Amino acid sequence: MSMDVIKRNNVCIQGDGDSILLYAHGFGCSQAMWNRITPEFNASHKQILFDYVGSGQSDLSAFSVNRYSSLEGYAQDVIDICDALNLQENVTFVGHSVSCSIGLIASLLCPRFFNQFILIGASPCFINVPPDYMGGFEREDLIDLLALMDQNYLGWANYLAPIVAGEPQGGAISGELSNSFCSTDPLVAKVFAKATFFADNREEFSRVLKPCLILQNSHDSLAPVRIGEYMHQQLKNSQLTIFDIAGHCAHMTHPELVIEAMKNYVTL
Amino acid sequence: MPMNQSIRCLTILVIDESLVIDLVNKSLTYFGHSVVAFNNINNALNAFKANPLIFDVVIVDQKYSEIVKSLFYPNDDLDARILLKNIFGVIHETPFLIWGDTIDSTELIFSQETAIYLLNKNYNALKTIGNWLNVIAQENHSISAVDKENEGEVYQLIYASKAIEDLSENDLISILTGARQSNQSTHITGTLIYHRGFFLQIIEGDKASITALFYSQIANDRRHYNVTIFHEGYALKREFPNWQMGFYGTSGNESYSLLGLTDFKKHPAGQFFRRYLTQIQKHFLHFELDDFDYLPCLILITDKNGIILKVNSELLILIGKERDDVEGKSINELFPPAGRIFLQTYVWTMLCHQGNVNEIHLKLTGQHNTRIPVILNCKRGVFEGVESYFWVFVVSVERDKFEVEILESQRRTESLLKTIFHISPNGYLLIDDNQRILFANDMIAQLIECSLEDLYFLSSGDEFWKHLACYSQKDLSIPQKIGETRYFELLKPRLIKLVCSMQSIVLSNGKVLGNLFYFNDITKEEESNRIKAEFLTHASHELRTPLASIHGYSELLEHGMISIESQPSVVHIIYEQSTWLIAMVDELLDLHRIETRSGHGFEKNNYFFNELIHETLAEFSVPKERQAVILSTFQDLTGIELYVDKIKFKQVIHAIIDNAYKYSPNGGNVSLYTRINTASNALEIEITDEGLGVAESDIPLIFERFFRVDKSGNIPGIGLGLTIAKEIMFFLNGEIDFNSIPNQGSRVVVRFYL
Repeated sequence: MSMDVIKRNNVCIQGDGDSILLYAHGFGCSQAMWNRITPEFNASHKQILFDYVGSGQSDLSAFSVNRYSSLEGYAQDVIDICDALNLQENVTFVGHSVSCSIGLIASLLCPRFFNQFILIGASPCFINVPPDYMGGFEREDLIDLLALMDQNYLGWANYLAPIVAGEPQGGAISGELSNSFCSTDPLVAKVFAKATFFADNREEFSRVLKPCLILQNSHDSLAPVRIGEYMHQQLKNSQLTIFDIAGHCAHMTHPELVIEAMKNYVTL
Repeated sequence: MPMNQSIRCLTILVIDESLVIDLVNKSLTYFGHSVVAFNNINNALNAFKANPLIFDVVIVDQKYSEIVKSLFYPNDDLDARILLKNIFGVIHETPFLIWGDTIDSTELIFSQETAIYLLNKNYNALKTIGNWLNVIAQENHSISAVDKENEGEVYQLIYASKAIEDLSENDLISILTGARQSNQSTHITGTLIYHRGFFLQIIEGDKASITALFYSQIANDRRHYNVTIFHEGYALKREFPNWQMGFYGTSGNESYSLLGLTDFKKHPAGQFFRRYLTQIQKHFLHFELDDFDYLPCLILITDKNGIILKVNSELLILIGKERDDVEGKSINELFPPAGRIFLQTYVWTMLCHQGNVNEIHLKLTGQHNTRIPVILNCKRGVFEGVESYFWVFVVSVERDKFEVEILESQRRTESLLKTIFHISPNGYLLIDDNQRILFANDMIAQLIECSLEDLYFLSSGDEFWKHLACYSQKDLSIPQKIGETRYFELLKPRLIKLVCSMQSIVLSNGKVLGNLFYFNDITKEEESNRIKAEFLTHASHELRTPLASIHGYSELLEHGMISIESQPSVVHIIYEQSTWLIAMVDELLDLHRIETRSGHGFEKNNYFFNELIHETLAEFSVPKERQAVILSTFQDLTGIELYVDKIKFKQVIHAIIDNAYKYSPNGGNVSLYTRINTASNALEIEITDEGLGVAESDIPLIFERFFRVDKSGNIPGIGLGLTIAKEIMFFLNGEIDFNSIPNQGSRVVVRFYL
């Protein structure tokens, strides 16, 4: 079973140390997105990287629409990995974007693994829920997004029949796809997009008591500063750092800032 | 006023797209006249209509001549005289020249004939044009718009303004006429208006008036981009927010009047102007920008954070924004929300990851919040020494429509296929040569107890067969060749019997799409065959028993083996047995008849319900040693009528009561209740017994043909009574419910909807 999970989620381990950094990629990506961060921690930490089922080099045959239609399914991937690796309570979970919600959900389902959280560009809910909460997007915007995804996949997805390239790992097709998108499959991406952008995890965030470092960017249209402040308020034991940069992927565009903030936090 | 006394400045309306570039060139030599060019006849006419008085001459391309004629020359009078009264309510005399036969459009030279024609018309303005044009024809000469008599320093203010299309025609006209009228000491000596909405204006005057005009009207008008003031001694360049200003001077020795006699090409101002115009021409009058400014695509450069450093005019025009509204802002702001998410989650991660993206479909936010479909290619590079991203968008409105169409049609086909295959009780599974599952219907997914969507995530066809094999006790033998058929038995949890066969799907181009496995569920078929076989055994037994006794007794009679006194009872037995036989055969025929005739032949009438019940019970012969049916009702049903076929009604009730007695061999009451069920608006007859009852698993089969609860054969019957009753009830607008508890008895409700 444990080997299955390792293979299923393409779990890769690098570095050495007593403390563990568990990295979880965001929507539309794979573990490759962390490759500007991990070299810095190889000497000090054991680092665990993985792809959610359906993303990156994971085992597509393990994908189930039912399971992965809600963030709990992805959280279960995280828990499965912790279980399979027999991790103890010394994991620092490093999540980007939707993975922050996933990590916190996993910790509520199974608190014993997690020590603390580093949340990069998180948002508990992307949708506006007036009057109290403005996630930044209307439902119609997200429907537009799904249409845009459909259109961008038209080039290679076969829509004639509900056919999906269930190519074995590393096959010709998935090889091609890695050049176009980190995610391998249109249906998977759509399921993930729906789970990500229609989720409302505000209630879960308010229940988290473990220490969290919130890293927010001053000009991030997906997770603006006001969301960072909201989370800082909701997460009882949190610390908020705002980078004066634009974009949603600080760990890719400004790895040095993220590394510094992480180092300060994990050595506290 | 030091200038332009001899030649009146003319404003010329030009309606022709193709000649615009030429016009710009040639207008150099027209120096001193305003040219307003339109590529659209309607806009031109509107401009004209708004203020016909400002145009001294209209020059129109031949292709528009018919329209112009019909509008401006209502009487088809080619006299180059227009009576605009009928059209615009004003009397105006504006001469028209029509391009085409008479004018060489590439050289913009009037033919002799035209020139004579024009001269003969004796219009001063036309004469002037004619003269000019003749002069233009001679190389190295130009016409000055300057009066020889007036000497003095002359400055020229040359500026280009953008986006006339943003302005209404009235705005344009007010700019032209306003500048001319409000500056007595200056004079517009040239105005070139380019069809894409940029115009170039040349104003002459003394230093003070030019400077005043510059600061009062032009410097603060953000529509103007590039301003140059010509004058000797000024090599000064001053930075202005949007444009560059320079002073260029004429030679001090050169009097103003000389300008007019000087070969324009040789004159420093002329050279500068020429060079300047060439540049403008080259840049579509977009000034100051790099070469990519006139490429037919949208280009922008951002820093690595997505802040826009540079943008080309095509993009600005398309989205209807000012340069200042775009440069320095985040690229996000060009996109609607969905596009922003896509940009952040896909495009940027890919750009960070591999430095480029290709053929991404996005939508830009256009004017009035419209969506403009574009295709994006972007790559990392270096701009002015800094790591940057180069973004190129191509507008894809047509392609977008086409793709949406394809997508829709594919969805339609998909839904159609899905629906058709969904309702099929048989399974279809298409696997290609690489073992990929290309198609499957719901039945296939149900076979391995997963959802159809999840089925597609199985990594291969082998995976499917492996899953399927889990339900089989034996190894599955899968068809390997076209036309091969295999038989599977699956336990899930009921036994399912399948016949699986294989066919190839060959596309019209001869390529093999894959192998189609066709699963035929034969469980029911097998079951019905089994029931039939059982019936045959049973029926032949049932038929044989009375026949055997008839045959045996008649044989004894024939051989005189029966004593005279016993003979009546033997004959009676034969009679009874044959009656039983006839009844049995009748039942079979009856069922067949009901089924084939679909209820035709029923003789329905209204009967009083109470009487019907009594009559029915009276005609039923209660088995020996059994009590009669206990009849009870809790409602007064007097007067209630039922519209039925009386004989069939009795047949139904008799069959049920008969079963009630037969299946309670140990006795017990058989009761009949009647009532009206107001909820379902039906008359109900409930018949209960206290007999053997029926096992729960047998209840669904109770109305099946030839199905018999009694497997021992001790209870007579061939298993058709309830089947027939149910068939009849269908045609009597009713139904039968059957409930039972083993060893406690059965309860049958016969319901007639009123």
